[in-house]
Amino acid sequence: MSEFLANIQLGLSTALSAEALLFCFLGVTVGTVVGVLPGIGALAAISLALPLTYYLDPTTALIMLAGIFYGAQYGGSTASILLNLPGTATSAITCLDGYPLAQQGKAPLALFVTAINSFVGSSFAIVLVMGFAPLIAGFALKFSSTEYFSVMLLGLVAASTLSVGSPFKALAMVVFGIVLGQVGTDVNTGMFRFNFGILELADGFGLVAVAMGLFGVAEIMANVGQASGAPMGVKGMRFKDMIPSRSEWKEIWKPTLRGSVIGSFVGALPGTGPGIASLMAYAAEKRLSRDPSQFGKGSLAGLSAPEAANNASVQAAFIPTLSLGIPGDAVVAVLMGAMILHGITPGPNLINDQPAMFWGLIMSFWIGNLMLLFLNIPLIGLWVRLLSIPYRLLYPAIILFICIGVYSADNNVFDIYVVLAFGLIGYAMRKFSYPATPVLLGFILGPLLEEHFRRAMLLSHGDLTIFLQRPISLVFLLISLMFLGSVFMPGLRSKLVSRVRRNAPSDDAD
Amino acid sequence: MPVRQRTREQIAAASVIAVGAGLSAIAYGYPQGSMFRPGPGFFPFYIGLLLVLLGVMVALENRQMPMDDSDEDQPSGMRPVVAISVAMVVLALLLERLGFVPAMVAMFVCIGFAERRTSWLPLLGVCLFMAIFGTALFIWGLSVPISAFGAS
Amino acid sequence: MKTIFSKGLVSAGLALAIGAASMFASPANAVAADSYPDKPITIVVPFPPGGSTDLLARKIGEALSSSLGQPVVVENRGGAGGTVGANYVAKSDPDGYTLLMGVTGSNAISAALRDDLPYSPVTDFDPVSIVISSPLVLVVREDSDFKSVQDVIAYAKANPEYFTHGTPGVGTSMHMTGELFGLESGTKLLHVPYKGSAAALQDLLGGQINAMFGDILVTSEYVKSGDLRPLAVTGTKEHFLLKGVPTIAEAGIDGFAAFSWQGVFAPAGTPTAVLDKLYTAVSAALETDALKEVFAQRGFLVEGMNPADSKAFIASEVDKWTKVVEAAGLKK
Repeated sequence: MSEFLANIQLGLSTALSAEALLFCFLGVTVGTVVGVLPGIGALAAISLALPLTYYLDPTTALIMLAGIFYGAQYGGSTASILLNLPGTATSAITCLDGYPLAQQGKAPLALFVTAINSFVGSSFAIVLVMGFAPLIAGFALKFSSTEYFSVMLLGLVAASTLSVGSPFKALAMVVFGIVLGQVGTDVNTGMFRFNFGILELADGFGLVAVAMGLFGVAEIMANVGQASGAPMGVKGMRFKDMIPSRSEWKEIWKPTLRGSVIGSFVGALPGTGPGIASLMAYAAEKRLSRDPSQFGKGSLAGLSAPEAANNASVQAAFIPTLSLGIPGDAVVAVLMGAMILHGITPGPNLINDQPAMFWGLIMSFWIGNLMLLFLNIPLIGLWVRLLSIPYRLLYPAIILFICIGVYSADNNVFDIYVVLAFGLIGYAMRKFSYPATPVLLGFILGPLLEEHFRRAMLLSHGDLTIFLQRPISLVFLLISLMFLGSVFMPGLRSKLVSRVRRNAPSDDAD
Repeated sequence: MPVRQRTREQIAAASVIAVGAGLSAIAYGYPQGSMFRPGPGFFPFYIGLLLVLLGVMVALENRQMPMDDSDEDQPSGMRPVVAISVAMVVLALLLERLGFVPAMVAMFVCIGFAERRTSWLPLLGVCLFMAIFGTALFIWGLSVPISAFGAS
Repeated sequence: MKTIFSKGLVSAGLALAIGAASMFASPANAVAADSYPDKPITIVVPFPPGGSTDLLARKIGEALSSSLGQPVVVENRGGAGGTVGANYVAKSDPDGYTLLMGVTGSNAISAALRDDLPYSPVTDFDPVSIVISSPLVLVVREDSDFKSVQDVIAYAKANPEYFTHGTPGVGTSMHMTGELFGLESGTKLLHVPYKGSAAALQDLLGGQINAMFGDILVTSEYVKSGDLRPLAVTGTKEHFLLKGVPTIAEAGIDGFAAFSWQGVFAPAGTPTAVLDKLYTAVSAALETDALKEVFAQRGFLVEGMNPADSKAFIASEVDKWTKVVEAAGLKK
């Protein structure tokens, strides 16, 4: 215990130095800004900032880069809630209930809840990182492709259940997302698939370009020319409009805690990422809710759980990175690259070899999250004021941000055409009420599902029963089955019932 | 030409089916492999079939749905869609050739045609603001390798 | 700089690009080499920032910038295992102002593996210098039954396709080294490709696969911590980060040698005088303390080949990997 306290003290002495504080603040501020701006994600921002840190002390550099990473998670929710402009899968899930809340004029409340939940989720995961990092990492190593396949399958099943409307359309859109994910290089053979001879498509469609097209550009195309112009108003912007009422707090706290737990668990598994964490948390909440019909219409539970989960998962992603040297997701992989650049090779010895850095980084997470909380709550007023700008003046700027944002990912104009193409697809989907969120989740999970399936087959020499033989995998498969059953059985039943009812008086539909 | 809502819904379902069928058809040309080594065509082939199946389910569901069969009046039409598409293409074409500012000005001009009545003066204001703010943010701040003026 | 024109764009655009390129290329060629460089030089890194290629390019860039008196900008153009960035440079003006930090994958193996590559590593580039090389190391888990290369060969002979080795993907030097190992030892290993080396390492540590031909620097951390055991390095001599570990040649496969390398490349047609000037600057850069520190820390071996040797080396590498690809039946 005394050693633990000594470590915390060591970490604080690193993280509270003037330089560390400055760069931590810089990082979380940049993170918030790039998170808010449509089209520029944390990955792009960190990649762009990385060369600048070559001249910094490694710990300071990491504190700043990590700050951008988790800061972007706070900011990412803002654009999603206010303008339905998600740049990542996590914010696409935030949109599901956040945007309806904003449309009801409750944008300040939604943003406040988001900030608080982000803080709670992060804090929960940081405690885990501090106390149990090696233990959790050891558990994560037990996951082979067999287990990952079953987790991804559960994710896909969950993805098809989270939108309102026809379950068949949702399921079809999940599969459509998987189809889009097929474009690119086949991991197992290196063959270029479905790229139509275009080398730029050898890595498939960029996630940001797909998300920005399906949501952002499509939303704008649908809104422009509407009589109302501005898509929504704001009821009030005084401080008390932000603070949840007693009954709202009651609605929030349990989903927040559950989201934190799910997010921490999923985040600690390398190769999953915050998108899957939010998705699982949202789906679980919808299952547990006494009134699932409220989800997708501005449910506070549906906003809280995934928000807490995505922030928890971002912090938990540092568990495998710092204790095993294996990055939890693409962004952390760039951070690890930064460590190597600075002469620190992340590996199992990192915690013992670099205690000042490890504990300094962890402590900076606390400080950074506190900064974010105090940075973001006053900013809510500013962001909400954005909505008072007439939409016809706001949207050209948004389109410009989206285009330059996707361009900056690989410095390639090709991505602007991609975002336009997905904008047109998204516009058509919206006209026929095909939900876009499942597409995005299918797009992320589909390639992982295939990759792990094929690797599991390779390692088991083609034995399909391997998925049932391994207990963790079996458990996930059973949960998926329960999910599918509980979603489609009542749906089918009610449809049969309603058809009988409709058929009874007169059949005027056909 | 006015098209009934149900017909349009069925066209949408048919496009879903077509995407699935197209994927399977292309995937069929890729090596299928074995259970031990599933080939690059194995997974997409079945995913395509699954999408076809789901498209059919949606189409069947559409037949059951009560629909408004009156011809839907189209309030906004395709005008914003076309204008925004052209604007984005123009930006993409000019960005690396003429630089950030000329490309974005051209884009704003195209966007101006998205609505029938455009108040050009406020739009010009936004355009000016974005020229300065965008240059500061993207080129100086995020060091995106494009020039404000001139080819990059 | 012009945009990338890939095969997929309309042929009209392509024709336009070629026309434009030749228009710009001729005056550039005419520029006397003694005025070179009179504007900033760009080094394209065909990967996102943060990798070892990026680091090397930036350190070399700094050194070049001070010796040539012009800013050297590093530009990351990632995609398709380095081929998008390499293709971009291959199609750039051969004036010495756009250079590529090329690697084994982008500038040799991809040519062996793919028919649909839109550039040729041999004819579309004039190498300035192959700067460094780096052997790989065959590692297994510490508690593995495999204690030597001979153990691996014996097991793999008795159980074809049951000895699993993980790689960061098809066509990487790790993959090709594994294929070469199989060919030269007369065994058949089971290649398990991953997306990136971290995922492969994760499965190796978790005991899902038997072995990896891994990066020396990263794996040596796990050797130090006692999680992994090195069986042999793939180079021709002992490596300074893994003292006492034999080479595969010493451990039983005569003449076995495989390593990854990185080098500076200019588009084909760059004036010889410009190449020579760049080569002189690069080889001087390799002697600076900043670079020496990078080499020691990353486990790189300095090569510093001259343009002519580099060109011959690339041809021999393409040849070597083409034979491996054909023998292993991997051609796309």
